[in-house]
Formats: sequence, C-alpha cells, structure tokens
Amino acid sequence: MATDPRVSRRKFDREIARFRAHEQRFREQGVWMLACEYPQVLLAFAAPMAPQVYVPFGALVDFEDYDARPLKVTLVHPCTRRPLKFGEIYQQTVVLPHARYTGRLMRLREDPTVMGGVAVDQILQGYDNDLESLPFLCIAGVRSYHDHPAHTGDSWWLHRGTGEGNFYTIVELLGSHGSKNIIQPLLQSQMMHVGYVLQPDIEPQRAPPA
Amino acid sequence: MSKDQGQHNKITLTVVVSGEGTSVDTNVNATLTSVAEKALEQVGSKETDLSKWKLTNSNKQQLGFNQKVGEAGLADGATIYLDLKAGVTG
Repeated sequence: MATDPRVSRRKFDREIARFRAHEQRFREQGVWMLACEYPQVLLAFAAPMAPQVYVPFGALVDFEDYDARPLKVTLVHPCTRRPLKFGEIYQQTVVLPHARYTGRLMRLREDPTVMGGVAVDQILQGYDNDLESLPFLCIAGVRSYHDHPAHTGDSWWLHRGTGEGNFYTIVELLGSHGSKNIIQPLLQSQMMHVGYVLQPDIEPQRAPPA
Repeated sequence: MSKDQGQHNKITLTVVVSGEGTSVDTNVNATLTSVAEKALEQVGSKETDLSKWKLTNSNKQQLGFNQKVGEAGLADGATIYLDLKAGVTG
C-alpha cells in the first residue's frame, strides 16, 4: 500500500462531500448512492428517461490506496455487490440516420474523419468479448484502465490531480454513458410455430322435424 | 451601446467544475469559451484544454463552447456544469 490510510480517508471525505453537494442533481440523473462507508461506496445507476425504473448496473468504488493509485471501480449487482459479468450488462443500441451502434457503455462523438461522422468509444470492455468474463472500464483515471497491460504507457501519474479519476467525475461518466440516455428496453422474442388458427366453418343446426 | 445597456448585459453564472462551484462574472455577449476558461482558472484546474471538457445546463442539455451566453439562454444566477469527458483510448 502506497498511501497512508489516513490520507486516503481524508480524500474520501472530501470527494464524498463534493458528491453530496450535488446529490440531488445526480439523483435526477438516476445515480443513487446506496451505501457509503470508507473505503467503499455503493451506487446504483437507474434509467431516468425510461417509463419504468430500470437499474442496468451498480458500481462499487473503492478508495483503498487512493490517490497514490486510482479509484478501483467494479460494476456490480446493486443488491448483492456481486461483480457483474460482461454478458450481464445488457447491450445498448442507438439508431442514427446513417448507422446503428451497439455496445455496453458507449461514448458517441462527432468525428468528420469516420463514415457517418460519428465515432464510438467502447467504455466497457470484456476480455476477448467473453460474456462470462469480468469487464473492465476503459477510462483514464480508473484503476482497471491503468493496470491494463495495453495502457502501461499511460500512467495514472499523468492524470492524477487533473480531475480525471476523482469520484465526482467517474460517477458522472458512468451515469452519462451508462444509464442516463436509456429510453426503453430492447425486447426480442423467439417465434415458434405451435399450431393453427382456423377460419370458422360452423355447420348450421338442422331444422327440427316438422 | 450605452453604458446602462452594458451594465444591464452583465451577469454572474455559477460554474460547477467537476463538482466544485465557482462564480463567473460575464456578459450575455461573451462566448461560453471565455466563461469556461475563467472557471477553470478560478478553481485552479490543471486540465485547461477545453476539448477535454463538456458543458451542460441545469436541464442536462449540452452547450457549445462557441455559443454566446445569451444565445444559450443563460440568465443571471444560472448554474452550468463543466465536466471532463471520458478519456478513452481503447
């Protein structure tokens, strides 16, 4: 451990206070703080625009060793704190006039160099897209990003203190890209041929004998 | 423009930069770029590249940095939010 727990604790208190100052705005965006006891915070991310309440995921944020190391963020079941597998976080689909994009926590941004003018960053990634694997958040400022072998050249120390990786920013990003814009569930049913429907052909009653 | 009109155009916005609020004195004809730059300076942000930030109003609508304060519908006392975009490299 590189950070004195008393230092991490002070930073925890400061960052939680900053979140609390805007908690009502977060709540309106579907971000609910469910539990908060050093060093962990449990949040639920609900879909504020959908007619029914859907909670696609929760997040467990761990401040241990913060901020010599970045925050550890794990997407979890908000009731049990069980880490969610990649396949347990449903895909999200957006249909634009020129294209359809699918992913799990996507960032869409204007980019005139790509076809259609919109580029997509996949914020949540699975190892080899294995639905059984535990996913990781590909956001600078999160521990899983900086611990990933592909990001050894992008040290946390290049981001520390810039605002990237603070609790408020991470929560805002998870809400913005994970749940805020969900408008309805995407349903799929499998059709099975189970029988026939007949056009009625009912014999008339015989006339009673005279 | 008369001096009175110039005074009338002056407003104060609250800019919440990654959760930290700061008051920015501006006017309705100023661009949101100038408001954002002033807010970042006031909170002492190390990240001053505006391409890494997004700006939203209290209705969660994104605002363009090239918009003027008045065009964005911001009145005296309004709160806007300056948040970092996701730094994603894949």
